[in-house]
Amino acid sequence: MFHILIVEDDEEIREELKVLLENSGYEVSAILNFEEVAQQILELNSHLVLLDVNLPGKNGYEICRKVRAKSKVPIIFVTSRNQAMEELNGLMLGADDYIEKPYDVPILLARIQNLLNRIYPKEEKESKITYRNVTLDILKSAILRDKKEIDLTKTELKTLYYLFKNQNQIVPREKIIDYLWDNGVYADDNSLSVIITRLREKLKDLGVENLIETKRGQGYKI
Amino acid sequence: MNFGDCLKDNIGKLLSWLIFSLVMFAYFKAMQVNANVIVITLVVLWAFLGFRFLIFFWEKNRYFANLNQMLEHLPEKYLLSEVMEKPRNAEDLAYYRMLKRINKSMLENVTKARMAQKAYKEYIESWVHEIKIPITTVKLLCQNHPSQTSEKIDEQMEEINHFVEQALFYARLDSVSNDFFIREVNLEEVVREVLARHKKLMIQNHMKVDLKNCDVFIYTDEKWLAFILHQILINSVQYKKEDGAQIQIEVQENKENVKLIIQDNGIGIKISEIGRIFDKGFTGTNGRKTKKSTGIGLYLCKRLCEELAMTLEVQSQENEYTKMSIIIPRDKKEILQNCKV
Repeated sequence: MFHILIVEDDEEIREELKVLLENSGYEVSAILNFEEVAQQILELNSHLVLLDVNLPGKNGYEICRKVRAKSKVPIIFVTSRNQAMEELNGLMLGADDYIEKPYDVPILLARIQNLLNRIYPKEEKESKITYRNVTLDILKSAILRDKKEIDLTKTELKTLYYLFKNQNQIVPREKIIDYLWDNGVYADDNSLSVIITRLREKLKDLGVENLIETKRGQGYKI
Repeated sequence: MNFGDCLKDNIGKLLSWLIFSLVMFAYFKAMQVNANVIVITLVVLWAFLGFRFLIFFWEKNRYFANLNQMLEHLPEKYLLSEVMEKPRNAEDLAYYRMLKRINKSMLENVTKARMAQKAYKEYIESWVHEIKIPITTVKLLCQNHPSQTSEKIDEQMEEINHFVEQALFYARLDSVSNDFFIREVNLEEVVREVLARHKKLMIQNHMKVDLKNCDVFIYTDEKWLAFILHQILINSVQYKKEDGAQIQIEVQENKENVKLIIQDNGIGIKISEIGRIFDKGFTGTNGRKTKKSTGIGLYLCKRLCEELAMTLEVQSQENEYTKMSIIIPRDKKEILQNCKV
């Protein structure tokens, strides 16, 4: 599990951010005493630091420089100040990324995920999910059953992946659309219906019927 | 200064010389002076007077021409009395001294107004900075306590945030040191992040977006461009048709420019109004219908584009489509020059 350190002086934001990151599956600690921040960051030895630029009596850049002198721990600057050019330039030297307040949560999480993936490359991701003899091969973008294989489009793959990930649950249509938007497919209600219809046809070609159930007024379920 | 006017100004002097000549002529006549002598004396006298007047005119003319030229080259015209030479002529000197006093008082006022404006701008900036903290907190609260209400609050917060940013950009528009951060960015990444950030707005309004061919690198300020894109998307959502609303985003490139095209299938803009949509405060028929328009959004977009050396163009057909194109120069130098960095 990755360990993230929050350096944020606003108590409310700090607590909520902590909850959010913990819910997203990270181990989280936060700095509460804003003396010798750089020293604390170094001692806590986390996988990633979320560093607020405006701290009481301190400047985030200063802290970043001190940390950088001794450690390569990835740092994301969090800022509500709209930086001037030179400030940002300085920032780019020390920090790995920056995000502005108010951050959009999925974007913040995506940035954290990207940076962690970049710095600590993971072992092979899970690339196949199976449900009722149907295997979804993510790398190949295809569905398989008994050596029969049918290719999926990018959009179909993403939709089916999300359904497979949430097996045995009713997945509301809005959730699917939301997920698709997060993953670069900008579909509306009608296009989702079209995608589901096509997926059902392809599943039928594999000899599977009624894999995707429609729950009227609620969503889909597999 | 023109010769006729100068002559008119000196008509008094001329008349007195004429009277003097007549008196002299009468006096010579009475003294029975030779007619030739009288004529020669008068001709010499008038030739001298004429010559003197020409020199006088020439000097005045040169003096004012100099001042005018100085004025022409002076970026701030009101500083003329600071840079002009002290005149030798008593009359000019009197005016010069008055001008100096006027200027001084005016400079004081200008400085005062500038300080006030600067202070206000700084206040707005710090206010924007402050307000973002509670906005962030509310957004996090929404995320951590999901419900249908929290989704709506989150959406409203995004809207508040956009207006806050509008205020910030507006405050900064005329400042000399615009704080751009120009760097190489991937256009597609910028567009995707804007879409991800505002997906709620788009999904709730049943918008479909077709994004293609945007994978190019450009030099720009990511934050400003994102703001412009968001504003354009907001307009597309606000002025959509009831069914099948769709936005197409694509890029056309040539050697000099990258052209980002955002086309919707909304209600479009009237021909009679299309020329004014970038004017400050212009709301138009569409804007008045929805009552949400302030006439600031597109004005800001246009101005921000200009500051970033980009061109914002619009094409539209009523009831058919609106097509916004942002033309971004490829040459980094051109952008940097324009940005006063």
